[in-house]
Amino acid sequence: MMNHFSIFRIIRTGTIFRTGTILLLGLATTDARLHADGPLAIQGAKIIPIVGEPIAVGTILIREGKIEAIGKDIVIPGEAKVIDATGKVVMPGFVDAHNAGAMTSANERNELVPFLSVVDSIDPVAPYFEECRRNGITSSAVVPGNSTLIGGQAAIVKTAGQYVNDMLLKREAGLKISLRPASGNRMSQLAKLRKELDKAKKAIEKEARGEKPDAATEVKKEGEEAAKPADKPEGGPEEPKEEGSAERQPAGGNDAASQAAGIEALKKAIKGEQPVYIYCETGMDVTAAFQLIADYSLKPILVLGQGCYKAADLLAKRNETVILDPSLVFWETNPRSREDKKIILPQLYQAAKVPFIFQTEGFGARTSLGSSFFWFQAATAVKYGMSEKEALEAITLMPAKRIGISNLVGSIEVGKDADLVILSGEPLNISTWVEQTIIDGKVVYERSKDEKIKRLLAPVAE
Amino acid sequence: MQKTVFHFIAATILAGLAAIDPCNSVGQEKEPSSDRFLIRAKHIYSNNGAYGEKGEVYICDGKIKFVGPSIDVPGPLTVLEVDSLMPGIVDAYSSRGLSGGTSEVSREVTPEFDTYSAIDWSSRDFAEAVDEGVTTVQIVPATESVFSGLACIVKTAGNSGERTVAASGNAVLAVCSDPTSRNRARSRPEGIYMRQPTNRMGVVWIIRSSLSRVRSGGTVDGADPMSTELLKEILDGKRQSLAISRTDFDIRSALDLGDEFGFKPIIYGGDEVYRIIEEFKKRDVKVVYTALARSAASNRGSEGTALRWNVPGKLIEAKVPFCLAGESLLDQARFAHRFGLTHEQALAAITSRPADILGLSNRVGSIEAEKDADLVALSGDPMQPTSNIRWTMISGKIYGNDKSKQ
Repeated sequence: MMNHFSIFRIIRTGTIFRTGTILLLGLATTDARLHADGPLAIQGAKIIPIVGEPIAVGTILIREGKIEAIGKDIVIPGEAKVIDATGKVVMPGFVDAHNAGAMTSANERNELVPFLSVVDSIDPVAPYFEECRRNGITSSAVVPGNSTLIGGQAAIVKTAGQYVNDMLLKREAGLKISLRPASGNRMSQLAKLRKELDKAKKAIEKEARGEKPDAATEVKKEGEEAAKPADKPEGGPEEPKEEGSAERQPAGGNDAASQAAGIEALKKAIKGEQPVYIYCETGMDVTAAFQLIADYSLKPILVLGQGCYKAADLLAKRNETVILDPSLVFWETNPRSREDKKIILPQLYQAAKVPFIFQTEGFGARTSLGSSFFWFQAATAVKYGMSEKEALEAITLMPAKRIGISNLVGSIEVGKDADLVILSGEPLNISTWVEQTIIDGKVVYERSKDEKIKRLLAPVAE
Repeated sequence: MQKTVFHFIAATILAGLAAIDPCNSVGQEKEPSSDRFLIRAKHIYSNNGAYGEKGEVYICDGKIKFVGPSIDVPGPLTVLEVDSLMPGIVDAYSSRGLSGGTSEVSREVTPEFDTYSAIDWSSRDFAEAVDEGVTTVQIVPATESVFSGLACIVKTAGNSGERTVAASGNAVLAVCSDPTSRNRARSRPEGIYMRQPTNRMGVVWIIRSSLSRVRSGGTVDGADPMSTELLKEILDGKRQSLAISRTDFDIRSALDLGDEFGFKPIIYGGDEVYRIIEEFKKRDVKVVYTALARSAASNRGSEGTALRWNVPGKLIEAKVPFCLAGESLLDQARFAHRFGLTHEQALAAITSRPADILGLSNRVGSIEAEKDADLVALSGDPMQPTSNIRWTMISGKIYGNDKSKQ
């Protein structure tokens, strides 16, 4: 009975993966004790469920990848596999709301590629996912980089799996738009963007009037136009490029099919069927984004660069959770007065009452040890005045809500996916490590078996 | 019992000193409390005394005068209550404030070029340092030339003129591939752009040939006579040299050159020192380890060095004197603690250990009587990433004691 119910729920929530596994499981539960996917209990740990108060010593019962029970006095069924987590801390898995680390290359050379999906670019064996599991990140929104005007469609994945389709939580999880001009200036950036959005808007209006969407011919003409190279000022300053941009390959995009697919993606964004990740580099991009949101009734997820704090008051009026730049603390010098100023983003946004979540700098060799980790970002916010409770919510439930998966993940609640992190101690303590990471009730990382970490921590010449 | 005894002694000494103590008599007349402080800390973290215990520190005239569980000081003074107090951080490898280019790019042998002559004392770098709790920095030239120049040591804030700790200090040698970076093999030999070395072999050759010439009474080819004098000082052991070396083979080259010419360089960088740790056990060589710094990551890519997280642990195990250096030092210490050092070892690695290596342990690096009043007050345990710096004191002056931070 239980099995059938679970299958039903998984299908209903729009996730089409893993149903096969569960069907098999349903047939094979005659002796659950022998089955690896039988019930799992985590016992003896302090539980920080994010929703509700922490439980000093509690038990979490997991069945078929879902949380079945949580509390102090849970009866563990005899057939359950038990993880003794005495003295440890259990939290929901961390949720990364904006990262391109799973993609083989973050940005597309062609600047208008709304028809592309990151699903085709996600590498399940990328080091990024290994690091995610090692660091307790269980869900990640893979979003194209910040250097492409319309960079394609994001997808949300669980961080463990062999095939992308096994990992997928949500395809079409958001269209990425960047307001930072990769070449040219902001005027042309916005004009090009509006032109594309207008095409989609007109198509929607036509449909509403009941006219035939004569996209094929219309799109072909536009396609020819789009084939012209973008204006590029000669000898202009080199624009900041993201990692991997050097190997960018031009995508198609000038053929009728991709044009039509692109219009479809934009239509979905305008109809509110797909959110739009809008990257704003500076304060002025924020106002431009607001105008776009109003003109095309977009459902935005704002990704903010360092300079956007200057628009904090405006952002406060929208009262939507924003994604902060990974460098949470930096310095600025006033070009006129030469006055030096330390900018502390979490403090500024908290003062302006703008809800926010974090990004990390990724796990590349070129990044610092600190801001590569969500716990460090949360600790930095606490250092500058945020409560620990809020900071932990900002790496779990808030990003889950922001990207629309909080019905499945982000907190330890009955019925949600069993995506959990077992920590060796308090989450923001410098000496705390991820002991185990669990995704859909399966242990996907164990520190005791992590040879890489052992090698890093005990330097021995080879 | 112990507390009472100390209390008594401190009070007696102070009472006795009152008549001759300059800050006691002079200070009372004008600005009675600006240079006399009593800091009451819930925890004092310093490698001397009871680590992490409650305590009080009396500061007068820019110096620490007394440290103890409880001190009675007569006369007006500023009392500061803090949660945690640690010594000011000492950064042995910094380019903070070095203005107008950090490296000579037209010649390889410029040992006499002095960082001290190019410091922008009001640079934002120093404001950032103070904000991060860094109170003393050794400013080291960049490594694009083989004999890069002279380092100097300064305080990160204070009245100009009083900030110098050691001008024209240690001599910097780039025993690594860095000096080849701008040199091009295909330039015309007589062209002004032609510069050796274009490979790492050439780097070692320039060091060897320059030192050989000077040792046999000659001069350095094409260089200023002052260069020759400086190299002589290195050979005579009158001037300490720093070798910037990160890979194991670069470190080995630096040690070999030292053996060959009878000097003992301090190794700066040291990323792969774990690979030749046995060598270090045998020798008395110090390491300024910078691989945990953010900027170290850019070298890691080009040199292909592998990052090991607990190299400091290995150095302690092998009893090799070392310190951490580079930017975000407090965070570096926190991560070193995470990776295996004890709390005390990690804190020492950014305070007393760098002070030792720079030969400044009589002045900075710990909270002890007669040392400079260089202190950092924090909202909590210095090793936790959630603890914030409340203020930094340098030579008895407080910086960044913002009311909003309290």
